[in-house]
Amino acid sequence: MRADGRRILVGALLVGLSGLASLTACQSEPSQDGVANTDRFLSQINVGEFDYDPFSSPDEMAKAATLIVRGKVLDLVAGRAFREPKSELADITTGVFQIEVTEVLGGRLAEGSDGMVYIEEFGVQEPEQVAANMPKGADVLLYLVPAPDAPPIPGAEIIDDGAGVAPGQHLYQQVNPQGFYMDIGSDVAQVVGGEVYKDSSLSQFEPGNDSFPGTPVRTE
Amino acid sequence: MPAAHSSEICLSLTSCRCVGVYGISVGVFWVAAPRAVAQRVDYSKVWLTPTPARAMINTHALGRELSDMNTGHRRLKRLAAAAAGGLLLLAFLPSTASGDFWFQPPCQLSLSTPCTADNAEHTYCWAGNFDSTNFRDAAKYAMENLDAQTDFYDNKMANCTANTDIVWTEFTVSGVRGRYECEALSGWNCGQARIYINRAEINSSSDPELNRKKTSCHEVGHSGGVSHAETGDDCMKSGEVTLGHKDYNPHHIGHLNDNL
Repeated sequence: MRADGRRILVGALLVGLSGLASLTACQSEPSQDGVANTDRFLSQINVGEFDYDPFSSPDEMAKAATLIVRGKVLDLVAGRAFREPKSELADITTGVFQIEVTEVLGGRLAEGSDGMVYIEEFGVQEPEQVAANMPKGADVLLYLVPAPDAPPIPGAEIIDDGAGVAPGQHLYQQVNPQGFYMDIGSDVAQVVGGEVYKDSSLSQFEPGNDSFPGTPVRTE
Repeated sequence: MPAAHSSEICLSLTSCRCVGVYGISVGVFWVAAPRAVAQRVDYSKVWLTPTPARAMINTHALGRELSDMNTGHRRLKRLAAAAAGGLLLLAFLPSTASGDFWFQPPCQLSLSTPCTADNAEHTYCWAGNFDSTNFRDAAKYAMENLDAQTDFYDNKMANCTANTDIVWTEFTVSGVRGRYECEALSGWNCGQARIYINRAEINSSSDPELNRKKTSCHEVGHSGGVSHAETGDDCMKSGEVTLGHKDYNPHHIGHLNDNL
């Protein structure tokens, strides 16, 4: 019994110490702007893989886009979802990036714009958890086209139409996965696709810039 | 539907969640391990006494083991102490350069995407909107090609259910020919994925039939755990093609089989 008691005491002490350590570690873990969170954010937002025609220059992207803006990413929230008729499969969900526009580089904001752009992303399953790791306030560069009013899943029913978008505002999509760049310190991340361009700046991805880092060539 | 992050295997050395998990595990192990041994000795020896002869042997063995209980407990305690010390040391090691350290999966995809399918059988179905004969033919080609080139085997399902591995679906997202997305992660494997195909984008190619096959093969390759390759004659190349690129090269066949 005495041995059992000692064992339980030591066990309780270990659990208590680990709780204390957890609290300490939690307090020291970066909450918003840390590199670790940005890595996690990029990992969480990229749950899919794409086949697309990569643009080889910002000017090519600019030709395909109807709106090019610089801004600050404020939040990522749940967007509309799509439900297929007569299907027992789960709804197809989206997230909406809410971006405060700081500069319009091409095209023009829609009349009555609230100074924000709202970008629809497929495959965002738990936006609040992804947003928790997102470096809120980070500078972004966007090449956008309007999201079609029709559901991007033909024949599907739209659930929560307008979710994530302020009333009267429009929903956009990036021109392709290359159309959404984020400043992450000394590097730039292509948010959709997850590519990170080391020692780069957003200005290198702007129209007219001839030092575009391009798409990395993967050989595996 | 499980969240994407549920596939992440926590080996973080500094994250608060992991320190807590490690510490509590050690505490529980410390208390429970010696009790588990005692139970093993007590019950297994009683269970193993069906005949008088064996009972004598087992009684002898039981007595010997009971007499060694203190030694056994000391050994287990030392083991538990070593495990506790090791884990707590790990928990307090300095952070890695990128902060949290996540387990690198033994496959090519990014950390958040699954390595491969959950088994060699690749079942598939058409979503309600995947009704184009040309695109169904291309999808069927891609599934049969996977079957022919690798250790996977395909199986067409009449209806899409939660157990179907791949749900072929049409979508119209800007600038994207095809997309693979896992919707039911389990560890590093995917229980169910969608393959989205953008009909208009692919049909605008100079050779639509070739590109239907190429993009279908490309997305099926992702479902088997391979990533992009911009070199060589292989369907994992990104974007429009004008010749070839409608199956896997030996390098990717090797990866697809390894990922099973």
